[in-house]
Amino acid sequence: MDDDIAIRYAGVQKRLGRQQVLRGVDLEIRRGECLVVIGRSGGGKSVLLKHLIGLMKPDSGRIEVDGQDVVPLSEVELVPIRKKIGIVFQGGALFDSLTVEANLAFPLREERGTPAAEITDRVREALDAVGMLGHEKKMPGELSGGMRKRVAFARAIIRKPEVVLYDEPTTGLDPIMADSIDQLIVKMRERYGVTSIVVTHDMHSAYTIAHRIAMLHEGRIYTVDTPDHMRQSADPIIHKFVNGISADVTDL
Amino acid sequence: MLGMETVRCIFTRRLRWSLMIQQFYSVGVRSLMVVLVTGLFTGAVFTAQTQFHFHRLQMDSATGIVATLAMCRELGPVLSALMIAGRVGSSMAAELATMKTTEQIDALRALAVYPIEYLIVPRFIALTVSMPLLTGMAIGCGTIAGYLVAVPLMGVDGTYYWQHIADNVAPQDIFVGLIKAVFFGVIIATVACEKGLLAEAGAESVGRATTDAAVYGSIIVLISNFFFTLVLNTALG
Repeated sequence: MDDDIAIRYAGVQKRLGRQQVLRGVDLEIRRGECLVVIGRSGGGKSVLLKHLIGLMKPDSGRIEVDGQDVVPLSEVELVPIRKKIGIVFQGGALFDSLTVEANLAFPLREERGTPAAEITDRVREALDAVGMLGHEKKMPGELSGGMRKRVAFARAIIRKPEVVLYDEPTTGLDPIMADSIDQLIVKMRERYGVTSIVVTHDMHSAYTIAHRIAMLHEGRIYTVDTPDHMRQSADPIIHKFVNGISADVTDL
Repeated sequence: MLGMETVRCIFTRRLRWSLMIQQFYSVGVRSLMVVLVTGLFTGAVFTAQTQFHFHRLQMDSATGIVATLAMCRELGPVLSALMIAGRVGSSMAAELATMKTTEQIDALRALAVYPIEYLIVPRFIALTVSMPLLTGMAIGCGTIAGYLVAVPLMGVDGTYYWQHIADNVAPQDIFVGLIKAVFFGVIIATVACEKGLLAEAGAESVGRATTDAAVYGSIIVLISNFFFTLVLNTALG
């Protein structure tokens, strides 16, 4: 096993209803790297992330985290894997019956044994990291989309995970808020050396945060390359996607 | 499947007492008024109707027995269950379906928390325990309302009314109603949680889960009541 590889997808296939979403995905993510997965909407990018923490099971293939295949693991066996992976869901997925503070404290309280004073300190530290200090007592319904994503981000990192997954972290945000989320991802990567997988179609964001960019196309990884190479690629499929050119317009 | 997994979880995982207390409040305390009013007016109207007909047959003394037996064995448990299926079952399904569609249940799993343990077990226990308590109160209210309608309002002799009830209504009559209520609690909780957890993306799906929980919960209660009546009458008399 290559110690440098934190995550490995091998021949992962998944059908949802009538659609074959993943047709044999092979992908390796190195330790400490930020890999951005791009691709068309509904192309299976979020599905790819959810497989990694066992929220979905593939029809076939292997998914390894630190060399351990997570596919056959039960909910109980997945607990140690899930504890080392944080995820920022597309809509934040904050618990709407809990305050911001309680949302952040939730993963720490679940671990049991963490002293209350330490929980308070870590909640403050995480909120400070995302610029949300002072909003502890608010309910998720009182927050804007960007603020919700920041709180979700803080919740994902509060257990200091080795891997953080981001599902479209900048979608629906204004450019300034999107940039601040990008900066947070970069800060996490640089300060804590976490391995990151970011699913997005925001190419500006991808160029800002990625070490490498993987393109998911028709259920397979079409290419994995550096941001510069992707930007300059002459491959028509990559060129159209990264430059936002629809097939209909080029036909015209 | 969900019911079996929930029961397995009750015995193999930790019980979350604070969540259970919240659910007892939400399911039990907040349903109290609905169930009491249901019991009160069901007992009142059933007694009045029975007394109108029995009076013509000069069977006034049997009114209390019939009304009380009906409240204990059928009306109390079934009507309480229907009210709870409508009030609690639908709200449970809506809450879980919303959590499902907004990825909050996925977030729980991602944070290494088993949703059955965290969300379903407290609701299941709270409803299963609350149902017989609520039903007991509905039966009590219905019986008192029956007395108030029959004796002060319709002129039945109070002493005979109670004496006939005491002579003809046995503890197992109440027991049958309470056993039914426990099973109705299990049915309503299981249907509501399953409908909520199986919801797909979208507001329509949340709406469907909410309606289905109330409708299917009620129908299963009504159908199963027939079989419970046969089995419990055979077993307990």
